[in-house]
Amino acid sequence: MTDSDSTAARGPGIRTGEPLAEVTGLSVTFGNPHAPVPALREVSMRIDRGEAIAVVGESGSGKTTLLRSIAALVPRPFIRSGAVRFGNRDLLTLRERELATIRGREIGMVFQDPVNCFNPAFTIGYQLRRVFRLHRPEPAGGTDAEIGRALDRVGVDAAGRLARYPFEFSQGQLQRLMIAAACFAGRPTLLLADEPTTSLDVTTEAQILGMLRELRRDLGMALVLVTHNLALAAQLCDRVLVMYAGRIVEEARVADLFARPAHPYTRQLLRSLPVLPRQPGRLYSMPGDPASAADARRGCPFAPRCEALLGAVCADTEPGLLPTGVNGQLAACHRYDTAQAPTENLAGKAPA
Amino acid sequence: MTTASGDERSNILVDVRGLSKNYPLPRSVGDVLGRRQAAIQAVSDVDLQIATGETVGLIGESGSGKSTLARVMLRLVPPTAGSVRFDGTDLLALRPAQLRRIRARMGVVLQNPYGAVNRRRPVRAIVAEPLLAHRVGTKRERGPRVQAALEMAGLPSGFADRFPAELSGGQLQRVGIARALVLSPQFVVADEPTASLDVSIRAQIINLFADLKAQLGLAMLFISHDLATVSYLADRVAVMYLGRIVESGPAAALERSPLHPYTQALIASIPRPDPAQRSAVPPRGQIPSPLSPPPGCPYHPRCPLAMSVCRSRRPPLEEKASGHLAACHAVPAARVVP
Repeated sequence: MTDSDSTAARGPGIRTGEPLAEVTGLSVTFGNPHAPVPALREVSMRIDRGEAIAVVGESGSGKTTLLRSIAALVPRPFIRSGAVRFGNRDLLTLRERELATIRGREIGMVFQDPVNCFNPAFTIGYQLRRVFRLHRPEPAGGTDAEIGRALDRVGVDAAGRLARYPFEFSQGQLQRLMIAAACFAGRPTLLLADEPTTSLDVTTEAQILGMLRELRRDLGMALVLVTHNLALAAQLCDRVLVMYAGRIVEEARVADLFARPAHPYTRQLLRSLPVLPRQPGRLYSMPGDPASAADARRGCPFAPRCEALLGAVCADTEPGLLPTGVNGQLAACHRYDTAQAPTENLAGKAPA
Repeated sequence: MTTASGDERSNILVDVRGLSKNYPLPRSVGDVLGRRQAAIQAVSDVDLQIATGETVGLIGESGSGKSTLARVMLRLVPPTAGSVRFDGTDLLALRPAQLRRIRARMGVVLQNPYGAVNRRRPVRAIVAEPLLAHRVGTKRERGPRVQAALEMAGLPSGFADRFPAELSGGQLQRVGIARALVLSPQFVVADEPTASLDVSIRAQIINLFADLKAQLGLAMLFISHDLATVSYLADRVAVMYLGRIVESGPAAALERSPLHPYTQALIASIPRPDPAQRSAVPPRGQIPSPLSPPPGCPYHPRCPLAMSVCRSRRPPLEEKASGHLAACHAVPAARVVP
């Protein structure tokens, strides 16, 4: 089944819309001065109004740190450099008090594990009322009516359920409740979602995906979806950022990324996916373990796992994020460095 | 009870018949809920045969009873009814000492490698544990066996002296696999061994299982919620729903022409890594509570094909095509050619 008016087909070109938020030159290092643990290195991204961006990567790639930075949830001392502009403000310079009027109200957040996002000792109604009252002091018709409408939108029957405790709901229902709080307590123009379906069953995942798609369309929210699952990016997003070892290594429109992945990591990652119908023969598997920004090494961080090495340049210098020449696609790979000897342009070819 | 097509296959190593596992509720809970049946039926009347060298994939949503079935098959928990035969021996009739002997021929790989190992012990000691538990070999003989198991699991010899905290998730899962292999088992149960791993590591572990299967001729029960993962390993696949097997058959048939509407919904739900194939209609509803299973076919409240008979009578698991079984009133039974 194909969604005929899929945004993938006519999706916005890279950086043509109206900017909503922008991350520039963000570097985050955890740990302490004696034992620094780098997490993000010089990450820049722009989020346009109403656009859905997937941030894809494996453990240690920095995807969750990037998402938390956009909500200014990373403690200030760990931020080495960079800015997170939302509207006309730099979130990284605001005081907590000012941030509290943005988080939850203008920026909604959905996390991976719905069970641990609710306090087991309080009823769902109590917890939702607190969030809704925080952002909408006096809704017409009362908070409960407002919550009822919100729950209706996420497919949870509110009748009699508000007096219940989190353990009386399934994981999928709790995730719906969290999405209701994120989307309807305030009036967010940006929804940040960190692996929102990872702990759910595949049928529930499909339902949540469909719901996120509708909510985004109806509310006109931009979405930043952090996921390890490339399929979710394909299903939900207009643009994809691929992260590796604390950096963005590829940026592309969703159709381009899957049709013409430019970075060797993206290509190898796509080939590693077990898909239905099963492809004949052995599943491709990438050698080695995912690297994090803390694994400092000279040259390209992906070089030890790369199957398209160009030679000494990969071991010696780290490539910048370079245009591949196709639809504004960018990749951090020396093969797109015009100063280098011309090499095979992966972006111009269909994947193997 | 329906006989499985497994009867025709030779070399049945693991033979499960009519296996059920109920967890009784405390009386007070049963009273409060006012249930007629004060028990959770985690597994109901399951038949499953695994031949030597065969891998059976077991798929289903959380709460479908996959892990309980595996635990009962290994007699880690006693069943309520039914029998489990391992290489002809009835596991349920064995005394503890006999059971321990036969367990040396089975291995288990668990989902979360971080929770499955003692973090204070080096890899060498973790992998040697089954040898000690079964008093196999002298101290001098155990070293090489541990080394061999680590090698089979794809870990170079240097890893024996490392501690879990020094390993990545993928390496730790390999330690778990080495531990399952160290006694040279004939049968391995792998319960969601790839669920917590990164994409690139998951592919490595899938291939490791494929290699082990080919090299060691292992019989394997591979549990996963992901049919795509299972399809790369399994010869046959069984689908569980609310404690029952609702479809089973050759992996290729089940993947290409699933018969049960539940299996069809599971396959349709898998998000495709292709922006041109965006799924439009997600399946409705969620798995019902095993506390109050629906009457008739357990899937009828979610089923698009549900008829009146589905609400009153539970369909038997019967052969619908050669070696392909399904429990559905809407799928016509095969005409069995003599």
